[in-house]
Amino acid sequence: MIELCHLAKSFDGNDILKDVSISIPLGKKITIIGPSGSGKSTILKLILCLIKPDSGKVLVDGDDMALLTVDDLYKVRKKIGLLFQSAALFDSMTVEENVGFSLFESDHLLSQEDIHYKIDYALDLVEMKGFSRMYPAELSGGQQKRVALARSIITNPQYLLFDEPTTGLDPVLSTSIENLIVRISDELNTTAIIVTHQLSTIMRTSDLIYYLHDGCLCEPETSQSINTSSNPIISAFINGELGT
Amino acid sequence: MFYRLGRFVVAYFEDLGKLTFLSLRFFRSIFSSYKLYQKVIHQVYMLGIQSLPITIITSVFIGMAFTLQIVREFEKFGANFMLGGIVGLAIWRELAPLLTGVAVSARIGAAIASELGTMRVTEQVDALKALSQDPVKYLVVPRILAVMIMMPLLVGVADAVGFMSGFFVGVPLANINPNAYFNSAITMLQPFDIVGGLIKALVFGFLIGLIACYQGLNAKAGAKGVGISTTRAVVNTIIAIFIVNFFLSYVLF
Repeated sequence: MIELCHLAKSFDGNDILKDVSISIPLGKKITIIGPSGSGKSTILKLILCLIKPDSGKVLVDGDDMALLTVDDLYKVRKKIGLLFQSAALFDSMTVEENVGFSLFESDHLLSQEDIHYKIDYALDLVEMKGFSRMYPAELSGGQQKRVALARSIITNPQYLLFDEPTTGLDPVLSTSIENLIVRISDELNTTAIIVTHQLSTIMRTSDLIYYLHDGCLCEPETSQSINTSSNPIISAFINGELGT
Repeated sequence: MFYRLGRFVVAYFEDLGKLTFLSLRFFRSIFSSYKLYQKVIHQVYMLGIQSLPITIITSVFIGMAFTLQIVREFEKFGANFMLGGIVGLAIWRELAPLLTGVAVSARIGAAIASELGTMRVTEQVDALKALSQDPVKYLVVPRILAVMIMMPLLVGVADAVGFMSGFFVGVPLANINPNAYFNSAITMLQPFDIVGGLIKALVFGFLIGLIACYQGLNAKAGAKGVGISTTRAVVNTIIAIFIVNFFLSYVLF
């Protein structure tokens, strides 16, 4: 289980997160929404300990991420897959090398045949099987996100983090990525944390929705209740009266 | 003014501390890096082989220019028979390691800093961490080792090319027997004059790799940030090489 306890983080004197606390139940799909710059992506980076909190702690299966040694931290990160907003594919590697990166670079007992089978399976899941020899620069934004998604699921992580998975994509691609998130989370039985400000993503993918306001998380809503939320800030956000 | 000076001093020592920490992590990570051999060979090819032309061109012209100056001065004292020894001494001990270091800083240091800087600002370094790969083991160790391997090889080439270009310019100008050029080198020089230069090259290789990796991994966002980190990598490396060269010359020779 991932638990965030009283997390606070500031950048250049600006308090982005003030007091973020949440326990994410296993197997659930949680969405964190809020305007741009409200600190949504920061939460994901804190979970992976890519940045350290000013105060508070992140517990992944009981391990305090900030207190782990470098080697232990990398072991815990193996449980977590992250889809970056920019896809963050390695531009000097082909699609196949990107997707299989974790397997090629770890000391395991898998044969080359097994690795290629896993790569094919992951690419098949994201419907990118015919693109394995191509480089990221040759792919569209949506295709890059699919490949990044395949890369993040190839080691069967327990937790999947999605940073703005549909931002910048057209409605058709957005829908297909949203369907992928739901299908992969269900098929692999992973806990998913999605950060977005896209309403369609919120509605299609979430079991619970948290609104990040002024550095704190509001009480959770569901995709059914959010449209009629009694919280005026959430209502304003849903109705497009707050900037995204 | 004092505020800005204070900030500069604090930032300088902060950088120095982080650089020291990175170098410690480099030494600790050498023996635990996965598939290190392949990565180092790849980097040697990518970075080192491509530096050969600039090294040869630099050493040819430095060897010729230095010999030209020496011949003119030595003629006044009738000391032309010492030409080979003096050219060898200057090139093997100082000029070849130093100028190869500067050329490699510009060629390899800039390439490493801009590559890692671009990876940093496009979140590829964060992606590495998220995929449970330590950027020090994956990116820094192979690059520093590759530069440390290539520098002595390149300086060896520069030693030979610089000395021989001195021969081709010096012998006709000084009007001396070609054998006298080599004999003076054999008489005046010791094998350690070459070995000492290669030790310098090894140290310079470490500095080039370390500073370039540090600047790349600490690039600030955007193309401008990558440009700044690349410039800093080259400038800081060249300064470090000149400073360290003095102390190495003092200790080694």
